[in-house]
Amino acid sequence: MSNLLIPDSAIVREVFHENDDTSTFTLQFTDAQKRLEYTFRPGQFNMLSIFGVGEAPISISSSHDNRENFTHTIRHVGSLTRMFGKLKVGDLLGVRGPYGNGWPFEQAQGKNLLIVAGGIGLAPLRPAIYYILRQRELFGKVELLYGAKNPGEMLFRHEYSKWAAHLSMLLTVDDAAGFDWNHNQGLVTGLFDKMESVPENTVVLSCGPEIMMKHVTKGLLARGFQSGQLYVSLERKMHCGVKKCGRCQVGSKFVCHDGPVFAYDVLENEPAEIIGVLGRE
Amino acid sequence: MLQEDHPLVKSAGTVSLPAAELKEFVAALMQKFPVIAPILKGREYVFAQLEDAAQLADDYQPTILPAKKVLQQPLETVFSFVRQEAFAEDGKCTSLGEERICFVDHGAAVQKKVLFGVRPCDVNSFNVLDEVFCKDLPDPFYCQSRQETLIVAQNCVKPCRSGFCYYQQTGPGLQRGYDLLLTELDNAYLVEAGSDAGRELLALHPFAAAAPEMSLARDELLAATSRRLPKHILTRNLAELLEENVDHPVWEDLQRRCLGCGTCTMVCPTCFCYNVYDKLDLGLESGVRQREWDSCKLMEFSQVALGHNFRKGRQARAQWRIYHKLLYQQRQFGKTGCVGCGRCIYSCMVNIDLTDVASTLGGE
Amino acid sequence: MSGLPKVAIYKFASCSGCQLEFLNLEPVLLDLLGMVDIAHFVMARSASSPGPYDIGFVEGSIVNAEDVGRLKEARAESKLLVAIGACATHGGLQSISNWLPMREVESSVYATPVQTHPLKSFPVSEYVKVDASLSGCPINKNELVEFIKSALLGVTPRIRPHSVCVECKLAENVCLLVSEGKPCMGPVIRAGCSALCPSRSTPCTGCHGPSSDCNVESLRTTFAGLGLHQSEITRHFRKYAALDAEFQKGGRT
Repeated sequence: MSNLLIPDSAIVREVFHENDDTSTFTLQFTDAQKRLEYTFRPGQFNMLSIFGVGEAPISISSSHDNRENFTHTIRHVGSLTRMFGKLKVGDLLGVRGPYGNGWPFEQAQGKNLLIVAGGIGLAPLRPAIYYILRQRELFGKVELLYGAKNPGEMLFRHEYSKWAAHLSMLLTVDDAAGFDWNHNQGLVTGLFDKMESVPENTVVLSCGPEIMMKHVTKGLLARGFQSGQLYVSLERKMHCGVKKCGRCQVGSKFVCHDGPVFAYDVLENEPAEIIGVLGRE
Repeated sequence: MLQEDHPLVKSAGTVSLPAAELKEFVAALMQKFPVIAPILKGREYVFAQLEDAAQLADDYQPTILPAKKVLQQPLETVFSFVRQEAFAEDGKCTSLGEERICFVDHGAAVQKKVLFGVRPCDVNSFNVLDEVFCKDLPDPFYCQSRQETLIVAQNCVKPCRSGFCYYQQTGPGLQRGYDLLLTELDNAYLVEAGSDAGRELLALHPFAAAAPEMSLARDELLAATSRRLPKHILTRNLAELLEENVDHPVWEDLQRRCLGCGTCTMVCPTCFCYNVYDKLDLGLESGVRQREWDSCKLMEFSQVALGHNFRKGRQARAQWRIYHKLLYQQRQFGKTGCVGCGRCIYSCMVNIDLTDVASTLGGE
Repeated sequence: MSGLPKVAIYKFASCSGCQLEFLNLEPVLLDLLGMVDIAHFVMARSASSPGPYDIGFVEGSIVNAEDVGRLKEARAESKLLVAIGACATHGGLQSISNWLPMREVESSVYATPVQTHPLKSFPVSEYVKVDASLSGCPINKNELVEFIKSALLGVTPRIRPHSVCVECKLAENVCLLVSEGKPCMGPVIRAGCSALCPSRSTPCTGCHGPSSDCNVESLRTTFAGLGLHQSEITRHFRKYAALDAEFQKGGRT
C-alpha cells in the first residue's frame, strides 16, 4: 500500500510578489512522469510542505490548461506561510494533491456567472476565471465582484484589463487612502446594488473570509437568489487532505473531500455555532 | 494445521475450551504471534503485548485507551526525510543541483499479530474506523495493521461499569468482525470461528467439541447482560432531537462543567482525528513527520492561520463532540459514531454523560 | 566568537533549576553549542561577551526594584526575550507570599528583621514585553530544544497549549482523579511535560501554569466533591501561577 502522505517534490520556478504579504509561486514537479500525470480542476487545492516546518492546504491559482507547471498564491500570515514567503527560485518543496471537488462547471454551463471574491479569496477563483475566458461561449453573462482592504492588497492586478474584455468587473476597497483609486469603496456586498446580475439562470461562485461569505449569501438570498445557486469555497485547518485527520469537518461534510466548494443549501441548515460561521443561526 | 476432514473444521469451527485451559491457548497463540491483550495496570486495564500468558486479564473492565490504539497508534511516524548527499537505502530521493532530499516511508512492514480478548464495542469501533481509513484513499498505517491483525473477541457475559452497547446494537454479543469469538460460560468458553484465519487458529490447541446447549447458554447470558447494563441511551428520534435542540439549555450546562481537557476524545474508540507536525533533528537537516491523536475538545483544534477559530467557545466544542458522535458520524459513514463502551462517561472528571444529554433532549 | 546567534541567560529570583536544565541537555549540548553562541551564562561560563543578544532567556521572578532595572536592560539587549520556568512565566512558588502580609513573610524567613525591600513576586511579563514563554518547574528540556530549533528556523515552536490530560492519556496512565480520587491539577494545567508526575502516580501540582481555555470553576467544584476544603483548593491554585487571571478565579479564599 503506497503511503499517500508522502509528498512529491516540486521546484520553485518563479516568485511574483503580489503585494507586501502575498506572493505567487510557480511550481514544477521535479519528476517528469509526475508532470505528465498531474491534472487538476479549477477550485482544487494541494497540500504544500516545507520539510521540518509543516504542511498546509493551499488553493491552486493557475490555469488547469497549463500542464508544465502550476501556481499557488500564498499570503504569509502564519508560521508556515511566512516560511513560504522565504522561498526562492530553485528551492524545493513538497506537493501532494490535487484534492477537493473544485468549482461546479457542470452545473454552471450555459448559465450566467456571478463571482464574488474577497482578499486572498480571489486566488482559488483565478483558475475558474481562466476556465471561463478559454471557453467564454459556454457561459452567459459573467460578472466579477472583488473587494479588498485597500488597492494595494488586490491580487492579479496586471490581469484585470484582459479579464475586463470578456466579463464585467466591479472592484471595491475598504480604504483607498494613499492610492489613486477610481473604483468603489465599501464592502463587497455593497456592490450588489450596482451589479447587473439577476437571480434568473445564474450560478454564484464565492470565496473570501467566511464572515464575508456569510454576508454575501445573506445579501443574495435577500435579492431573490436561491441557496442552491450559491457556491462557497471554505477554508479549514487540514492535516491530510484525504478525509482522515478529521480537522476540516463541517457537520457531516469533510471540506477536503466533499468541498472545499459547497452549494450553500448543503450548509444553510447546519448549526452555525458548531460548524463555524456560515449556517443556521 | 487441521486436515479438511477434521471434526472441528467440519463443525464450522465451534468448539469448547475448558476455562482452566484458556491461558494454555493464549500461550499457544504467543508461540506463533505477538499477542496483544488486556492486562492490569494499577486499578485499570490496558491493552499490551503479553510477555506471559498469566498476564492476561480475562475478566476486565474497559481498558483506559480503546483497542483502536493497536491499529491507529497514538503517535506514528509518517515518514522521515533528510537533506544530504550520503543518504541512500530505500528512500525516495530528489536531487536538484545542490539540493537533495530523501524520504523514508514508515508505512511499510507490519507484523502479523493477535488482538486477544477485545470486546464487541471495540470490534464494532473497527468497523467504523475501517470506513474512515480504508475507503477511497486508504491510509497505509491503519489499513495494513488492520489486515495483519487477527481478532479474538470476547463477548460480555457481565455488564461493564458504564456501557450501553445494547442500545447502539454493538454488544454485549458480537455478530461479525471477529476471527474467533469467546463466550465465557460456567466452566468453559464457547469458541466460535468467524473466518478461515480463525478456523486455522483452532488447530493450535486440542479443543473439545461444543455441546449444543452451549449456544443456548450463550444467548441467555447475553440477553441477561443486555438487561443489566448500567446505562441506556435514548435512540428513537435522537437525530431529530439533536437537530431541533441546538440551543437547548443542556449545552450551556455542558460548557459550564466541561474542563476542555480532551480526555473523552482520547479514550473514544471511534474518534479518528489526528494532528501532524514535523520534528527536525538538531542539525536542522533531517527529521520526521509525525502524527498524534488530536481532540476537537481542545481550543486550538479549529484555529487557522490568521487566528480565526471556527469553534472557539468551550460550548461549541462540547456540543460538537456529541453531535459528531450521535449524528454526524452516522451520516458520514452509515455507522453509529458511538459504540456504547462508556469510556467517555467513566473517564470524565466532571461526570459529563452523553446518555444523560440524550435523555434530557428527549424530555426524560 | 563566531557568526552564530548569541544567547544570554539571565537569572532573577529563582532556584537556578531552569538554568541547570541547559546543562542537563548534555546529550545534545555539544550539538547545540555548534548552533548558538552562549555568550552570557554565569552558571556555566566565567567570561561573558556583551550584548546585544539574539535570544535572552530569563529565569526567575521579579521581586524588587533592582530586578526591574536589570530586566529592562535584558529586554533592551535581547532581540527575543524568553521567560523560562514558573517563576519567570507566572511568578512561581515565591508568589505564594503575595497573599501573605509582607511582615509575616519576612519574619518567617529571617530571624531578625533585614532590609530586603522586597516587592511581591511578579512574572517577567508584568514589566517588559515577552516574546515567548516556556513554563514549568523546571522547564522541560524537550520544549527548550524545540524552542531553540524553532527560533533558529524562524518558525513558531510547537509548545503544547492544551491540558496535561492529553499527554497523560497518550501515555495511558491510570487517571489519578477518576480512579483514585486524588486532586490532580492536570485538567487545567498546560502539557509539555509528557505528564511527568501522573506517569509516576503523583498528581499534577500545576508547575506548567494554566492550559488554554481552562475551566477553573469546574475543577474547584470537582475538588470540593473529593472532600477538599475550600482553603485547600485555593492552595492548589496558588502554588505556581496564582497571578494568572484564570487562576485568580481558582485562587479566591
